[in-house]
Amino acid sequence: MLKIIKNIRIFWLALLGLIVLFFAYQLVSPTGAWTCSQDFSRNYYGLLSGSSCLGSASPSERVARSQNGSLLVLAEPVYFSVFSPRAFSRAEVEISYRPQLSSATPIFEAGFLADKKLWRYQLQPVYNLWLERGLAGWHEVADGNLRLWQRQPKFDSISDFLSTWRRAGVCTSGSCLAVYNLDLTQMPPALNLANLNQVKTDSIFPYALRGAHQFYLYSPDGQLELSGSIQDLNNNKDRDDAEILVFAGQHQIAQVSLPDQRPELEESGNISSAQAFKLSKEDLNPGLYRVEFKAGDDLILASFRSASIYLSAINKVWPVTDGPVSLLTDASYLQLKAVDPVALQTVVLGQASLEMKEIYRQYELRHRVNGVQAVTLERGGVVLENNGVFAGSAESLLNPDYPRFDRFAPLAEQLDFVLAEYNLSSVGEDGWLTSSLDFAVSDFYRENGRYSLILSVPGLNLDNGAGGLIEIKEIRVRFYGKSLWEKLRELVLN
Amino acid sequence: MTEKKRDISRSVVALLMKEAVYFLSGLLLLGAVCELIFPGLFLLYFNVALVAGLWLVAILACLLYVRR
Repeated sequence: MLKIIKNIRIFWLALLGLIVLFFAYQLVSPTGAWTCSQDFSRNYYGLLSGSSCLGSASPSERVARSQNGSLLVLAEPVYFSVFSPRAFSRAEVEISYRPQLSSATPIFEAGFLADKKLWRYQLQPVYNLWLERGLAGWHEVADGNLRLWQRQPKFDSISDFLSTWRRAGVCTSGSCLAVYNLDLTQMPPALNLANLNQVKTDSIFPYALRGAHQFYLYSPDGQLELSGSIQDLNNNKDRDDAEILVFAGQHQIAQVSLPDQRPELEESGNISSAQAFKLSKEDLNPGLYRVEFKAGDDLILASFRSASIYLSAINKVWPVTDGPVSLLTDASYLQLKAVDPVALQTVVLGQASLEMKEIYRQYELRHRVNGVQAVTLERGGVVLENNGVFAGSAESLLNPDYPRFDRFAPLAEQLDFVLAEYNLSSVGEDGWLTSSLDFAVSDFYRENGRYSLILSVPGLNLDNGAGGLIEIKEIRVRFYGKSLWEKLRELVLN
Repeated sequence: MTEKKRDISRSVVALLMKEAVYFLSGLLLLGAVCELIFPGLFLLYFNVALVAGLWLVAILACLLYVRR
């Protein structure tokens, strides 16, 4: 009997030991690779096994299950918390899906949360309706993942187009080239800098702005002078540190840190006194610069001055003022959101207007005329976003970016070329498409062992009548990092 | 002889029940520690509700069997 007891005990202790070793193996991932996948058509995750490494899709009201079990994305965005046993350097996301999209919702993208403070996701295209089906009547030329569509067949190859673009530009007037998912660091800017106003004078952004913002400015003489002040609303419980970062292209050239050492208590609701900042740089190259005010929504950029005639906010403004707001924008649409009932109002863009009635609902206001339009608000508090820039005056408006080829792209009007870096999806059985995306995730945000994965279909809402959905069969995330051997070798050599 | 075989069989079953309780308790403890240090790892591979249910069943069976 004692022998039986001993054998049984050794058996289950050994089993527990094996489980511990298994967990240790998963945590270390000695091969440097780890895979998380979920096939929605099979219901593994019930009685006999653990939870899914992908987590549940949220918010739950934006998804449903089809009869065959596949996941239906009815509105966007949809989030997943992807478990990983440790931090990795690269992630490959493979999605099997069947899109039912329209011209109002032509783009399906996916990505990871890169910066939690700014709630910034890094997205890559999964499916682009226009690029998959081709632009009717346009001529297509491809080279690997680079694809060029031309209204008239002017270029025989991508390399021919790129060399002409770099040398002399391809647009005779205005911006005739739209880009999608393109790395523009080696490409010329959309503006001819020699045509910019070379006068050096101060510009002040006309309104205080809440939360993170980015600006374009131009330095004709290589000198950069920025100054301003910030205030803390003290509504949330977190410390509200901020940074002012200056970039030349993708390269950061200056930084000012503004730590939260303000005396007012967090969550007190007491607005802090203005905290001034100043940044000066000389001996820079004359040219375009991007300034980023990196801060949470509890901070206000109370004032911002630049020794540059050009000062334009990029893609977003959230003006803070009780009085009326009047700005200019070069995009033909606005996405609007209010988080405070006091901010609900009628917004005017050019000749079009829209009345906002609900907070936390994203509205879209389109104006069919291209060119610079006036944006008018009765008072501040509304978050205005588009793919263009906002400025206080026509003289200070500056946009060196090419138009983005998204659902707002003016296809029929001004574009002659569309250049995109895009992998066509591969077609499998029963019409299932598969797309693979590659991300460098080493700097991405990871909390409690989970990365935040987003599926985004801009314009796909439950209540706007655009219709459409994405049917997802499987999501597979393969993580890659240093193997145990590489890590040990690194430790020994260092 | 048959009586002896039945007695031995009952002893072995009782023993198995007890050891099952020890094993499942150890597994739940391992799971709790694992989740504390590495959230999500244990839940990924084990259905905790099932393990806890089996543990309860084993304890009940053990108590009933011993009582009997």
